[in-house]
Amino acid sequence: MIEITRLAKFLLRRLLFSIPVFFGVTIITWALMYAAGDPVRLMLAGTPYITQDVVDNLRHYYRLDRPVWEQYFYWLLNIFQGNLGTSFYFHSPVATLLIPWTIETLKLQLSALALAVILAIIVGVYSARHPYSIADMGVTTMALLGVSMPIFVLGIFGLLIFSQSLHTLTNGLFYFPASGAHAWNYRSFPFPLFLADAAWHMVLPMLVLTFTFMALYVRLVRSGMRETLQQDYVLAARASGLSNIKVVYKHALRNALIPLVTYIGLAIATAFAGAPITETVFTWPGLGYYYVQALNNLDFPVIMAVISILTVLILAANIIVDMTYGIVDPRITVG
Amino acid sequence: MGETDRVSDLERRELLEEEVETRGASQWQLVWRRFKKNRTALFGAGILLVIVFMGVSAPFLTFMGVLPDPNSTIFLIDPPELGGGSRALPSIFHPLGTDKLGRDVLSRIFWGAQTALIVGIVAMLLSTIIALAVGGLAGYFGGRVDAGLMMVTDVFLVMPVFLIMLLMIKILSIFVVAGFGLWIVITVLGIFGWPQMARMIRAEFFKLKNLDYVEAARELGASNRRIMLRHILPNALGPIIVVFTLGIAYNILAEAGLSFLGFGDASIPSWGWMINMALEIVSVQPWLVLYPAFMIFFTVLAFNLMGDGLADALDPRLWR
Repeated sequence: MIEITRLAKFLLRRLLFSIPVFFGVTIITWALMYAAGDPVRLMLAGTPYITQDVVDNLRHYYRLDRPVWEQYFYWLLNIFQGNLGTSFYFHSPVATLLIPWTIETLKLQLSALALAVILAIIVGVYSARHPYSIADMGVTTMALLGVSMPIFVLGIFGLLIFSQSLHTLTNGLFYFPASGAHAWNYRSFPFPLFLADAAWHMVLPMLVLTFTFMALYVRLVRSGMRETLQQDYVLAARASGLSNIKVVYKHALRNALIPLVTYIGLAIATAFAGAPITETVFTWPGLGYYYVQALNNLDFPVIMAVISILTVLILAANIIVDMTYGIVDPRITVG
Repeated sequence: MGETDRVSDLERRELLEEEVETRGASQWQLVWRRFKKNRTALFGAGILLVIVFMGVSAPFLTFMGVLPDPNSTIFLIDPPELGGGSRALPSIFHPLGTDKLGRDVLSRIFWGAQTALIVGIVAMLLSTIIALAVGGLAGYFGGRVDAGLMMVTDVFLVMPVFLIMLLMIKILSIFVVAGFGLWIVITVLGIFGWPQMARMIRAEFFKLKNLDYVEAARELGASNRRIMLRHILPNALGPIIVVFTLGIAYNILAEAGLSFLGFGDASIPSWGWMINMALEIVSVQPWLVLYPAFMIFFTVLAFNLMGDGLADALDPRLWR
């Protein structure tokens, strides 16, 4: 019971921190877009024979004749009613556009993140147990290469090799798709085929993302594990005759993971924010890809909505990561 | 006295001499000595030297006529026998060929080194100044100042920074005259690159301000400013240099990413832009992507290797 109230208190405090962050980010974004100029002029660009009446009506409709703080206030009010505005470019409500984009981004980023963490733990622990062996040297070298390689270069060459060359080599029998998250006619697919198709489209972008994430995490796991394995309690566990596997995975692993968990909180923000590059390379129909499109079209409601939703996702992810601290390290109690 | 004893005696004396010598050396000489022993770090320094040479020599080589002007599309009118034209294959006149607009790729690679180094270093300097101000004040004064400044830092850490950088560049480039696009990128990278460093500096200042020598300086009547700049900062310099070096690597990657998405400065030779322009033809002429990609890779690798090496050299606890 005490546990639950403490958890509730912790959640409340984190939420109280999250609210000013959300306001801070949205106000900065709003101010930047306000500085860019009158969106009505943009919307009407290239449309001949527009009378001043129409312009005034539109300005009134979008409340652009109001002071800027009032506009922001209306935007906030609308958000809480689930109304994110209407896209200037797609001419449809942003809220309905945003749902599939968010699903695609979460699907890609979270699965890559999870795969990277699992693989990094396995590889990093192995590497730490056999320091300076050939395998360890290979792992550390690959990790360094992965950290230094821009993700779009990896993506481009991944596409060239596994999409184009594979297609040519197998005469089109087997290859990985170069763009998109689904086949064009996926709506007519039965469910199993739909799943298989989605997974097939996801392989290449997910592997590239996983490799980039892993490069960072492996180094953290490896150094954390090496440090932990030299500590007295590990020696004591070994001396008491426990098997090697038990010592490493039961006694040492938890402590060795603390730096990784600390880092993942920050890494999630970077991962979500890095979505534009990955998604542009693979033409992945997620938040990042459409964000770049919206910037090029100056589609302000979409820009505003994508930044807000990513901020909320990052804040939520941070709270979850902070809560897992307690699981990894019982000395740190949440709240 | 057996043979073995004499050998170990000699060894001991050598060790002793080394010890005596070590005590005489300054801290930075020690760091350099440790850095020298690290072969991978020296490899990184070697790559970096080559890239710095490329960046510095690019204007001279162009001036002397060894390299063509990187922005000149005049080779469009060169006959194909002279290696001119759009996306020409490598020839004696253009050893790496030409790009879509008929500009010499080799020359742009050389000039791109300059761009990458300027972006990486200047943006990181800007970040460091902000981080020093925020982290230093927060760590030194503590209390309410610390709480307020760390709140701002935390906000910056959880922002979707890259998205806001893209938006800022897009908006700022409306107002800024053409030709200053690179400075927008540098400013934006600098403004958003400081939070992690500020946290590190805060921790260092917090640790050092309670040490006896700082207390002694304070008792002798040193002002806060003098204590911070003269007594604490030099001792916190080690980790700052490491983060600075790794930050340059991050900035170069970020600039390449921004340019790749088309949010850089098209009027200045940049490796990211070269990839962006070559992308549409990558399946036919992959080398146009390959050259700048490998330059980015090696530059970032050099800074990463040096950062790791410096971290080992500056932190004696890790010294093996």
